[in-house]
Amino acid sequence: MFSVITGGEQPEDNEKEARGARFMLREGRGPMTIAIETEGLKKRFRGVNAVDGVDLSVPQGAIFGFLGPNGAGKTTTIRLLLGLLTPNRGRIALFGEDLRRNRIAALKSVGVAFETPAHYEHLTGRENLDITRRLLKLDKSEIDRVLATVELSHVADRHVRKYSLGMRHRLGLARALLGNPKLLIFDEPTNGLDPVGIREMRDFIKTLPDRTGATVFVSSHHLAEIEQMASHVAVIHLGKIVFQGAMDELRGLHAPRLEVGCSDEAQATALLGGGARKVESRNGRLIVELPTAEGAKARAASINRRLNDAGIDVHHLALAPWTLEELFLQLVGANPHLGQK
Amino acid sequence: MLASIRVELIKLKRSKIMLVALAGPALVALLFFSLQASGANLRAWPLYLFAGMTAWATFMLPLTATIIATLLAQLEHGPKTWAHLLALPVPKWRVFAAKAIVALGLIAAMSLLTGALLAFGGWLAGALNPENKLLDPAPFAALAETMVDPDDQAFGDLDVMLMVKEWRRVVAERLAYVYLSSFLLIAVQLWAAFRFRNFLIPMALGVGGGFFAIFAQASAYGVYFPWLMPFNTLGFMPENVEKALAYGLVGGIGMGLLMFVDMSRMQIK
Repeated sequence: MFSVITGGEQPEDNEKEARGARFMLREGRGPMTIAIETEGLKKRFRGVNAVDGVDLSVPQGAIFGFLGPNGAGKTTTIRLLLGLLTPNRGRIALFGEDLRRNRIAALKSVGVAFETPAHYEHLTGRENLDITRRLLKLDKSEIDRVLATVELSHVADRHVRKYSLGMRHRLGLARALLGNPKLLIFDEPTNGLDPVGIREMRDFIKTLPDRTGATVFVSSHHLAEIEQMASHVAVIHLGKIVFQGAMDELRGLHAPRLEVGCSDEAQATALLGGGARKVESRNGRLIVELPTAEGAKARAASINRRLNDAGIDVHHLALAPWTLEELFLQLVGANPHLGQK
Repeated sequence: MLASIRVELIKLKRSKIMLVALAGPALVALLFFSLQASGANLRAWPLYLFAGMTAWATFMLPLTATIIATLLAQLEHGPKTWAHLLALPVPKWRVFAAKAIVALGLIAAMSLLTGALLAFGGWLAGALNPENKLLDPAPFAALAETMVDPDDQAFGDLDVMLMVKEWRRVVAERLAYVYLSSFLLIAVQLWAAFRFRNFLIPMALGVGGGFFAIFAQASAYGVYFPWLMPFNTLGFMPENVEKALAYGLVGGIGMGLLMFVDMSRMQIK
């Protein structure tokens, strides 16, 4: 079952105690099943809550999509998770290690690639990796291993200033992979990439849990992108988590829609709009809401047949993706108080 | 800690910092070589070296310390690598301490280079034209002892006899004093350079500090002015030597520790 977090209110005292106890238990537990756990995380900038009571629970081994529009609080949350920002309230545990009390132990199992790949431009790719390798006290062979993983071995000794943006992103990934961390955090990893680069990056991230056993926490403002790679997802809006759960639960939340282009919109609307089915016209096409994702293709074929049988020519038929804005409207619409910062 | 220092040294590869580290001492040495070679004969080695060290302590050291601190910080500000560096499982203070040690190391090397290049320039001027050869005053020590009035103010408050007899030790000692007393200004410059992404802020602080140091010399409070401390250790006002050394060295270490604490708490947005 998906969870829509109501947010906004302060937890009651007994709830706080229960959370504290849960933290204590996790710290003393054997094999961890939660890679990232935050509770009541709050960060204010000049009186504005950039992150407002965020409770995250990222299962180990998942590709966890962290979805939200620009300015929703994704990067701030990530920087809180890495100890780069100090929360005003709340706690963070990475694999059970409390970040505030034991920052170094908590970050030992974390690799990170930031939104804008930041490297020392006057150094080569290899020298850039050597800097992190030395600080992590890893073997020299690690550099060649990660360079091969991201397919940058052939340009390892070239100055980074001569790298393309895609290569810089891949070097950032290589750096994150040094030492085989158990948790990989990627902040908007496809930003600025061309479509081919986006696809390569997405495919690469998708293979990481199987290849390395790592948990992947990836932020994005593209719903479709997260849908294609994540097993779990949290949606953040104005600093508050509005949804958190498995990807399938989010898919269940927004029914698939069929986009139909045909010769007679009015007749098609009358034909398809009977009963509870919602049909609306948008930009010269009909958007037909389907009840569930299951059997969507069969329903599309059936609609196509019905229109043809009625003598309506169909020249376009496609499953219409939901935009992030539409999803927010749906999620926030159910919880109007979430729209207030 | 060694790994952190090694990493900082890797970052210096092909950076402009090494150029600044070479250019500062070279410019001072070139200036005094030109003066000596063009006939403005400073006659004796201690006089020549002290003149060069004065230029180093008052102008070139504060300026190059400013530039080096700014460039060391810009290595991270420029490509925005602070976030990556401070998200590693390494104590944050260590990142800044490694940079401070590298800055101190570079300025120590520059101080030695200044002394060495000044000496080379003085020798070269004499080698090119024997008329400009600098003299070792030691053979004249006995003679000078009978001639120089200890209260003679012609050399300011410098102990002339000491300069004549043990000039090598005095020059080496004062060169070390100049360096050690610069710790406070180096710490201030590093702090400003780390704190502000805009390089103009630490640069303006350094240039402004150097400029005001000229006027601070006349002030009773000048001894507390970080940019004037290296000059004060040269001994033109003997009562200020120990104060400048103590304030510069101890103040620098204290300021450095405060900086590590503050920078470790820096919020990386």
